[in-house]
Amino acid sequence: MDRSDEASRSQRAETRVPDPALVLRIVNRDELALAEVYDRYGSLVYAVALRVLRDGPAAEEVLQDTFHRLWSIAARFDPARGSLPAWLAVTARHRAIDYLRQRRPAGESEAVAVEIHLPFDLEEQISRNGLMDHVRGALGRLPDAQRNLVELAYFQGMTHTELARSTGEPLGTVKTRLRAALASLRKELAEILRPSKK
Amino acid sequence: MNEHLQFAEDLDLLAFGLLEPPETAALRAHLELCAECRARFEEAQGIAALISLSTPAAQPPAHVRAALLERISAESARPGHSAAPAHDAAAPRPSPKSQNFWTRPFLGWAVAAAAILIGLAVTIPQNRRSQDELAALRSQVAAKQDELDRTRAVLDLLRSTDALRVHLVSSTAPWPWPEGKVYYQPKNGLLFVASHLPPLDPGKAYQLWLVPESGNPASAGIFEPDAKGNAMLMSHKAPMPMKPRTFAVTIEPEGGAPGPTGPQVMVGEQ
Repeated sequence: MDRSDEASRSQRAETRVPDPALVLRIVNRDELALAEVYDRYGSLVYAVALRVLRDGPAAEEVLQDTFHRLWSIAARFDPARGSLPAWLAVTARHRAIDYLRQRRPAGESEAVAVEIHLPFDLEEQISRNGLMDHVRGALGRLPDAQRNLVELAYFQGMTHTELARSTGEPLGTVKTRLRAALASLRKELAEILRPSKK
Repeated sequence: MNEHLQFAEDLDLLAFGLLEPPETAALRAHLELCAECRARFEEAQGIAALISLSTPAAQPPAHVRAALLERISAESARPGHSAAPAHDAAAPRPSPKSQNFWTRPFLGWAVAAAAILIGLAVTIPQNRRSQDELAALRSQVAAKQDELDRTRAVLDLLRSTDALRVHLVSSTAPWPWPEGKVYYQPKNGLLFVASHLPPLDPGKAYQLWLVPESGNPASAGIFEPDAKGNAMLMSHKAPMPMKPRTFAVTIEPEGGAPGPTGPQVMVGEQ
């Protein structure tokens, strides 16, 4: 808020070990590095799982499972190509939806294929909290019907056929609304996504 | 081009997991072949990830962190390796006789004097031990500094926009296929990470090679995988001044070979 806050935040940013360095330490089986990543992003992963599952104990299971997954595949995670918080969030969402639908977790190849192309300084944006406000703003500006569909699709893991059944709308309308919503989001979030292009 | 148009608008839906299984399979097959659609799909995945990040943070209960760390520690622990308990409930308590010991004055003074002598005898080696511990701590700090320097060098390499990134794959090994990734820059050195490596026979080692357009391959070092088949190799000095065209891993005698002689495990070209 004031200058002293800003100064302490920038000092914190300087002393913070970057995510890729932590991933490398995890590759070297450093349990403290995993603990540090957990301290950094555990609340984010838990929030995603809780949002999907709406059940504390189930979300705790997904939380633990997501970080265990990172521990298991760290050597295959490419920090230069993917953002760690984005990978964790997407993995948590996949696992939570699998849990919700009582499916077995996705196979290794599919999970590893999740390389999220975002700006490399995403971790810094998260720590500033500006990114989340930006995304929430973009979602909030969607028309209600579109936003509801995106949230149902994203956090309940419904396919477009299931969405049509759930909302009582024709399949074509559901698809059109979803595409319009995603096009708006792409436009709104372009300035965040653009620096990721190499 | 028409094919791109046909698939393009479904890529967002795929990234959000909205397509039915047959549509998903068809689109994934197309993604395997089409770099343009893959780039767009990755961007769509980015949007999907951002939506995940929009969720307000929620503090998980502390026991989850403890359970996670306990789980990975248990997996990493070797048989027979266990932590000492913090409290030993079965430890014997002092007997009433020993509790009354200091009520006997002469014996008490004698024991106190003996204790001082014993204390001196113990303190001198303890000082020496403290110096040893200090030296060990200094050595640990130096090792940590060294590790930090190495991590910084790797970060420079990973963040460098002109570093070469090459994916190495196996065309012959059975599933799960060994694969690896090389990050290479003549200025900052080389980082190689690999997974799914089969265990080696005794007396053998994996060796990473840099193969130039012309001339002999240069060794980037030897390495061994861990029990799960993962391996990492770092080198701060580039084995050759120019960017090589090809990277390859072969199995060589323990200690390495001057040139590749053994079977090729994985290969990648820029």
